[in-house]
Formats: sequence, C-alpha cells, structure tokens
Amino acid sequence: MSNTAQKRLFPWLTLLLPLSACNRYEMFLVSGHEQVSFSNKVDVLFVTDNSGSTAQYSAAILANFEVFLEDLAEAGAGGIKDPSLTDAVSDYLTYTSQRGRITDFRMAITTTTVDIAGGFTIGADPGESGLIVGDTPIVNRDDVDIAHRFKQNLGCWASCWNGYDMPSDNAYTGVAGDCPFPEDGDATTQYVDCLCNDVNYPEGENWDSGELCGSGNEMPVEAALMAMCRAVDTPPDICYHVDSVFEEEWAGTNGEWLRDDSTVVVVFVTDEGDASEISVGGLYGNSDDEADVYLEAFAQFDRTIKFAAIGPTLDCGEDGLCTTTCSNVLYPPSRTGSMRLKNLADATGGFYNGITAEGEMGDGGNACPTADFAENLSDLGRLLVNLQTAFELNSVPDETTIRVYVDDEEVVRSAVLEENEAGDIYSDGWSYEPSKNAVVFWGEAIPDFNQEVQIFYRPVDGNPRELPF
Amino acid sequence: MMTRILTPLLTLLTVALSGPVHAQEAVDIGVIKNEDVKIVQKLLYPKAGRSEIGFHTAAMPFDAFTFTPAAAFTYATHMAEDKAIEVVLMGGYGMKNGTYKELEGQAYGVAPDAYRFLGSAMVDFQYSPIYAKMNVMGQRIFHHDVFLTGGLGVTYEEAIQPDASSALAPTLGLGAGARIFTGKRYAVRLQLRDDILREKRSKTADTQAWFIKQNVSLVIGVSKLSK
Amino acid sequence: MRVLTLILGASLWSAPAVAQGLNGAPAPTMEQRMEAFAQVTAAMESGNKAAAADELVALTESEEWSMFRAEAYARLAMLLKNLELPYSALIAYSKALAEDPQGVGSEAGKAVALADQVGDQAILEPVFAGNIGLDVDEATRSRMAYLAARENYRSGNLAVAGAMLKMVKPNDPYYPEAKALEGVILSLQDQHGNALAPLQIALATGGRAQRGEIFKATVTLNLARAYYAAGNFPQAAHYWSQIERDDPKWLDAQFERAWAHFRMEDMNGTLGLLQNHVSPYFHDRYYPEAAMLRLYALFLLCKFPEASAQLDAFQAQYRPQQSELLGVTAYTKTDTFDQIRRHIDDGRSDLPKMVTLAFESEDRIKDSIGAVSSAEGEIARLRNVGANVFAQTAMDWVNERRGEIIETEGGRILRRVKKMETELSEMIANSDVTKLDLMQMESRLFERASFTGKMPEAKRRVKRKVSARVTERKWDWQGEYWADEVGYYRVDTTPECPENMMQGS
Repeated sequence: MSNTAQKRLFPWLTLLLPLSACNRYEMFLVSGHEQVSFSNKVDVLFVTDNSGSTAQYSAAILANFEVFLEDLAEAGAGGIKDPSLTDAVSDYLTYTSQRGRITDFRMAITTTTVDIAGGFTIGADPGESGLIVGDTPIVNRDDVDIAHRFKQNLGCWASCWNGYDMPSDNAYTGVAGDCPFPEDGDATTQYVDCLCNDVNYPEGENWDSGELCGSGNEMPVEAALMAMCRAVDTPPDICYHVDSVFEEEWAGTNGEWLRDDSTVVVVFVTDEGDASEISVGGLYGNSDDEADVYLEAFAQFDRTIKFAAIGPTLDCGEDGLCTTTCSNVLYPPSRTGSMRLKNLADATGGFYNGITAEGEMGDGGNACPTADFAENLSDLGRLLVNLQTAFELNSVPDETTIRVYVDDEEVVRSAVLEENEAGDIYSDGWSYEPSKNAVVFWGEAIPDFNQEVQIFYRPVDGNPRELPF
Repeated sequence: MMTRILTPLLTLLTVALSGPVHAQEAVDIGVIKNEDVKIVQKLLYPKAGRSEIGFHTAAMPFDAFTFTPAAAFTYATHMAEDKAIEVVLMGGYGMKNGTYKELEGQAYGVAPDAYRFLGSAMVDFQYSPIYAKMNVMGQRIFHHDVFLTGGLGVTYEEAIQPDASSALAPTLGLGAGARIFTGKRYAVRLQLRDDILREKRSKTADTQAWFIKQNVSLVIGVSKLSK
Repeated sequence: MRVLTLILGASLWSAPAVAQGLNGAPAPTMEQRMEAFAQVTAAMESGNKAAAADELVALTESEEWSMFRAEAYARLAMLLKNLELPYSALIAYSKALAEDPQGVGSEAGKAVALADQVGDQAILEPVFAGNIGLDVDEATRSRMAYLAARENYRSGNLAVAGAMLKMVKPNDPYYPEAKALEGVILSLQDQHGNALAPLQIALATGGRAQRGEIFKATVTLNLARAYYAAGNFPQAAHYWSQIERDDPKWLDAQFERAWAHFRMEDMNGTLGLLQNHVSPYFHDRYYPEAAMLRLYALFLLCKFPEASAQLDAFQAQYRPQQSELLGVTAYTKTDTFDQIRRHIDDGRSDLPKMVTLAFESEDRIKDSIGAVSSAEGEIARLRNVGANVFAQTAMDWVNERRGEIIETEGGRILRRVKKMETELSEMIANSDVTKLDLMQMESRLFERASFTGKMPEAKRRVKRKVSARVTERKWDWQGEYWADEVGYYRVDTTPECPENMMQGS
C-alpha cells in the first residue's frame, strides 16, 4: 500500500476504534496564568545573616547600595536619588503614561535568626523570627533618604559588628544624616557611629552589642516564611506548621511592608546556607534540598514570590551537581544548605551568586575574598526591573512555536532595530532570550499591570513534569 | 491447528442454533402452544408518512479537556415505520473542563491544543427496527422504539487557545437512541451519538495537521410528530 | 258572592266531569257532586288544604259516593301535587286511572309527568296496558303506548306490546327506546329479519338524541343477536365487534361473537375470542358457558389434553362460584334489593361481582332505586304532617309502593341468581361426565401417536394465518398476560384430528 494511500486510509480506519472519544491533542506548554496580576509593585525582603562571620558582607552591601539604586534608576525604575525638577517631571510623565515601566519597590530587612531566645529581650526582637528591623523598617521608592534609611536598618540592626576587627578612622567627616561610606571600602567605627547616631537602641545598648548578633543556626528560608506570616492579618495554616515558632499575635506585625498585588522578592545574604530543618522548626528533611516543600508553603500566600541568593559560592558541573567552594575554614557551609537556596532561586527565576570570589588558593584552604557586591546588587536591580518585562519559561521551547498573548490579544514578535553591545534594541513586541529562557517584552508591548499574559510553546525536549492523565 | 479450533467451534454453534428435536413434538400434542397464539394490536404510535420536529439539549462530557453543553434541532421525515431521514442542527460551546484548567495552571503549565465545538449540521439515516413496550411498576405501559442512525455532515470548531483558529471538519455521525411515546404525537427522545470528525489544526500543521476527533454526545429532547 | 266563590272554586278544582256513570249506571248529577264534595270545597275555601285532603281521602273510602271515587282520587292527586308530595300524587293518579280510566283519562298526561319526576313509570304501566284507547292528546298517547308496551312485554304479551309500540310517535322522547324494544320483540317472535330495521332505527335515532354509549351498546348487541338468530353470522360478528373495549358489555359481546365464529366453524377465531375469558383478569366473572364453548372448540380440534385442562380450570373456578351463588339465593328480596342498592350507591355490598355486574349499567334497577329513594324522601316529609288523615293514608300508599318495588326488583334479582346457580350446578354435574369422555379421547390420541410414531395427517378445518397490517403490530405470546393485550388475541392452531377420529367415530 502506498504511503499516500496509507495516509488517506489510516484516519478512516480509526472508525474501528471503540467509540469512546479518545481524542488526541498536541500539548503546548504555557507560561503565565490567570491569577497573575502583572503588577509593578515589588516588595523586597532582605534576609541577612547576622552571625559573627558576616560583618564583612554587611559592609559590602553598605558600600554598594548606591550602585544598586542607580541601577534601578537606569533600568527604568524611575529616578530616585537627588532628582532635579526635569527628572521629576520626566519620571512623572513616564509613570503616568507608561506605568508598567516604573517599578514601585519597597524594601525591608530581617535576619536569618528564627530563634527568639537571644536579642535584647526574651521575646521576639527585631530581626528575630522574621520581624523586620529598624526605626522605620519599610523603605519606599519615594522616600527622600531611601539610601540612608536602608543602610541604617542594615548596618545598625541587622549586622553583627560585635567581635569584628573594625578599623578606625579619626579623619572621618560624616555627620548624622549624611554618612558616606569610607572610600577605602572598609567600614570604620566612625562610619558606623555616624550611621547609627540617631537610632533608638534600648538603654545602654549600641550597634556593637552582642545581642544584635544572631544564633549560629542560620534559617534564612524559615525566616522569610515567618516574615511573610507576620506581614498578613490572617496568616495561612503553614505558619502554624509543626514546631513553628510563629504565634497568632504576631500576625500583622510586619506592618505595611506587604502590599496587595505585589510581587515579592526575597534576597538571602548568608555565608552558611540554610538550616531550616524539621528538627529545628523548619520544613526541610535532613538531607532534603528540593524547593518543593517551601514553594508549596509560600504558595499559600497566593502571590508571586521570587528568591535570589547571595550565598556560599558553588562550583557546579555540567551535570548540575554543585559543590561548595571558597568556604569559610572555621565555619564551612553545608552543601545541602547552599543547594536549598540555589534551588529556590532557580525554581522561581531568581539568581544565585556566590558571596565570595575565587581566591588564589582555589576551593578549600583559605577563605576567598568577598565577592563584588556591586555586581550582586546590579543583578538584583535587573531582577526587580525585569519582573515587569520578562516571563520565564519552564522548558526550553521550540522557538518557532512560541505564541504570546496579552489579555487574549496576540503580541507579534519583535524585530531587531539596532544591534548593540550593551543590549540589542527591539521594535515593539516580544523576543526570546535563550540565556534566561524567557520571553521579553519591548516597547509598547510591555504589559500593563493586571494584564493577563499567556505564552504558548512546544518544548524541545518533552514535558518537564508528569501529567495527571 | 485451524481444524482443532474449528471443529469444536462448529459443534458449539450447531448446538446453540439447533431448534427443538422432532421427538419433543410428541410431548406437545393436543395443547395450544404459545406459538399458536399471537396478539395483533393496532399500532398505537405509527410513524410512517409523518414528519417529526424535535428540540433537544445535549452534552459532550467525554472529552479529556472540554465539556460542551449544546442544543439541537431535528427534523425527520419517516418514509416507513422503520426508516427515516433526519436533519440535525446542533449548536454548543465547548469549555475548558477541570483537567484543562489544572493542566494550564502553575503546577503543570500545559495547554492542550483542544478545539471547542461550536456547531454541526448533519443529515442522518435512521433505522428503527425495534418497537417495544414496557410495563412500569405494574401501573402504566409505555411504548417506545429503538433506532440507529448514521449520517454525514460538517462540524465547525474553534481552538480553545487564544489564537481561536477555526476548523470546518467533514463528519461521520453514528448513533443509537430511543423514542418513548408519551402521547399520540409526542415522544421523549434519548440518544447517544458519536460524530467522528476529520479536523485540520493549523498550529501543528508542520508536524501533524489532520486529526480524527470524536464528539460523543448525550442528547435528550422532545419531539412532535405531525398528524 | 258565596255563589261566585263556589263557582270559582268549582272551576279551579274541577276534575273532568264523568259523562257517564260507572258500569253503566246513570251519570251523577251536579247536585250530587256538590253534595259529595261539599266538605272539600268548604275546606278549600277556607284555605285549609290539609283538611281538604282529609275530606278527599274520606270520599275515596265512602261507599255512598263510590261513583265519585275516581274523581276524588284525581282531585286528591292534584292537591297532593300542590302540597309537594309528588309520589303520593302519582299513586293517587294511578288509583284514579285504575278506577275509571275513561273518566280521568285526561289526567293521564299529568300522571306520566309525575311518573317521570319520581322515576317510577312502572306504576302506570299496568293501567295503560289495558287502556291505551283513552281520550288523550297524541303526545300523551305516545307516552302511554310505550309504557303499555313495556308492561305487555314483561307480561309476555308480545303481540300486544308490538302493536302498542307502533303508536309511539317519532317525536316521542322515548322513540329510540320504543324502536329498540320493537326490534327485541320481533326477534323474540322469530321475525329476526323484520327485527333489524327497528333496531337500526333505534341506533340512528338514539345517536341523534344523544342517548349515550350504554344505549348504543345495548342496541348494537341486540342487532348482533338478531343477525345471529337470522343466521347471518358474519354480520353478527361485525356488530359484536363494534362494542368498545371499555363498555360494560364488552366481555359479553366477545363471548357471543365467539359463538358466531363457532357457528362459522372458525375454531381458531372462537379460541382467540375466548382467550379473553380465561385470562386472569376475569376469574371473578360468570361465564361458564364461555368455558364450555372453549372446551367444545378444543374438543372439535381434538386438543383433548387442552380441553381436559380447560375442564379442570372450569371446575376449579366455578365450584366456589356455585357455592357463593347458593349463599345468595338464601337472601330475602328486601336484603337483595338493599345489597344491590348499596353496591350501586357506594360500591359496598356483600353480593359477589358476578351478580352485581349485570345491574351496574341497567337503567331499570337504577330507576327503581331512584323511585325507592323518592318514596323514602316523601315518607319522611309526610311524617312531619303525620297528624293529618291524608298524610297517614299517603304514607301508607307510598310505603306500599316502595315495598312493591323492592319486592319486584329484589325478586327479579333473586330469580336471576337462582337461574345462574341452577345452570351452573347442571354444568358442573355434567362436566364430570365430560371429563371421562375427554380422558377416553385423550388416550386414543396418544395411542395413535405412539403406534404410528407420528401424528396422523390432520385436516385443517379453517385456514387462518395470523398476519398484521402495516398499521398493526404482532406480538408473540409467551404465556404472559398484559392488560393492554386483552381483546387482541389471535389463535392459529391446527386441528389434531385424523380422519378416523372425527367427532362421533
């Protein structure tokens, strides 16, 4: 029988099949779903390690925070620092006419300490069990002194300076309210004095108190969960999981940090990985590093949450297996704990950067120098901005099958208008970024917030998950 | 090998199909046998020479990804008691079912290239060899018939994905049903029909364009026969 | 003034004057009349109707004024009618007419009207039966003729009845009934051919007069019977088939039709019709003759085992029925009437269905029950004025009449029951003998079959193939009775009689 005849005959032979409606459909993958409101609100939570080994990392953040803010401004987050009238008007026009291009962020800081036994009191102190720190714990995009307030919260409440070999510089000229970071890149006692000059510590305490140093059991993921539980008036059931430290009266104690329809970005900064195990009040099994258990926990808050981590440096092979490297000799991080942070970041489209750079000694041996936090914070800035233009895909797509719809209207593929080393310039529409495995929107096609985005595509290598049929 | 199977099979068939042996007649002499008696009744609900108009509601619940409520209008001409030609116009709207919604949710992120049923027009030949009656709860007797249908037509469908590409598919319809007569001119109709479409789907034209799809529907309605 | 009042009173209350005296005696004078009715007139003048009625009663009992008895009855009837005692009035009229039909013949119309009102026409039948030549108007004569005919028919005077029916006018309200009765009478006189025309006329006029389904069914039945008696069996069968399936007489029609088919030697047709009677729906009915007919048909087809089974079924069904009927014959006429009355009023009675069924749709018994009810109502009203003489007299009359009706009708029912019981006893007694004969025939049949190894060549007596038209459906019989199938059975069986086993050989 000829091929043509077979092709003609075969469909009709299916009449012999039992009449049981076993219809066959081709499967497309889809990113984006109905509940996503593509909001430009981003609520950022820094979960910083305030154990004794992390002072240099706090200093690195303090040193590079302005860079972070500048990156946000350039990438379209709206001019923030010292806006001129022209800048302000320009921002206003951009905001009102292209609201999707302005990321409305607010930031808060807590620590990796979940245990409430330490601190200034026997109860939960700022930074413990997810409680955000600072006299003004929430730092908004529109605040005039955004940098000072953020750095004050970080440097005066969420850092452990006690026992840190901090240099002194009597020539420091900063005054309260205007405390530039020392130019040599090291935090000095005078700098921190200036930064924390107007902070309301308990009587007899200051930024050097040992009570500001957290427990040695870093549980950044559980701390982030506790912070979310504190941020809502009606905490979901997961907040009361077995051995959880959360108490009912803590609901709403993280004030106005979490907004409706916002995307949450949790940034972990730690050199120890995560120890949120069941035995100590977390949810992970002992050697469990898969993201599922905490993804399901955070899913109960019914909003998009992305994770980014600046954590123990990992050396990952092509097979996906990673090992820790450049670790602290005295307090080496666990591979499992580090992988927990990495898997969370990977599963939610965030990033995982090493907290240390490659050193001369390579892995093992002496500790490596602190990584370039300017670059880390730049990555964070891009993450915040890209939230509004990029949509990650779950699988690598057959590019020719990608179709994009915003509110059921098809969006055409962009054409490259100009090639540029800093980044190609596209016409209005969408393009596919293989490096991020994401569909990126350009120009007028960038969805406004609350618009439904759906991206259909056929995966190159099959469905990523087993289907329930 | 074949003989070993055939011989016992033929024997079985012979035994099964054989009637009573001649010797049995000696036992039944001098009596009125059941086969001697017949009941001849006027056909209470004749169909020959009459036309039939029906309005029906239908549902297609068997598809893996869609559920379709539909409504149908039928017009039939009965050439004989057991033969009729019928035109069926059906309209509906296929919707995503729970499985589809679960699949396209965050957990799976899969969107089947399912097509929603919008309408069909069929011309069926109806063969109703069975005319029966049933006694319900020992109280009332309902007469009903059983019919088979087969026909050709077209079905119009549209992709559920936002591209909404359409497909006009040639269709073969098969079905079976029953009419329960409730009055001289009225009947309740129940039918199961399977419309087999050959459908072209544009989004997968490069890998596979043509698909065989079965729209299996349960139809219930009321029809009125002309005088 | 008094004279004028007297004259007026006389004119208002005057009964028809008797032109001649009774029995050839000289006619009474006006003075005698005035003297006889003086007290009555006086009472009427004073407005005392009750007293007037009392006086009239006294007059009817007076030997001295016996020549005015009929007139007194007539006047009393008028007075009682005015006193709203119609039954008493009717009885008074009947007495007046019986006393002097010629003298009060002009009141016949009023009497008939009262008879219609109370539902007791039978009271006048004996009077009119012998006095059809009264001087009345045509309409009244026509009514009288019908009533007279009925009386003569009941008395067996068929010729007289037939002659009287000829006097019923086409515009008489009972014309259809009269024609129907004429047909029956002619048929009873073996003038079957002549009976057909009146029956057809009855059917047509009854339809035009909207007589109803029961009348139509009764006349159709009689037509069928007339054709049967005339030997026109196909036509008889046709008319029996006209009886609707929901008519009370349907089962009777099927049985009689079975006889027509039997006479046409169509045993299959007979068996098909009688299949209804042996269905479990009618086991409480009285159709022993149907069972016997079926048995006979089976016999003629040489279906001896089946006939034997039929005989066993007959005995099993009818022995208890016979006992039941015997029990009913012990009732008194009054009890019997009461039972049938209760059955028709509210369905409760001790009489078996096989007895009550025949009367459920019978006009005569319904009229009688109505008349008895009217009588009882009037007796109750008369008790309220019981102090008066006339009331007591009227009460006696009405009570007596009520008793007569009850006795007549109760007796009629009892005679019927006795007849049924006697008939059944004979059949059951004979059936034992028949059973022996059947067993013999059965044995011969089996012997023959076992000897030859096969059934002998049978002669098909009637060729019948059960076929259904396009507008019909044919259902197989599997021994299961469905209520909607009763009446639609067709039997197609072959006789099993070899040539030398024909009946009588």
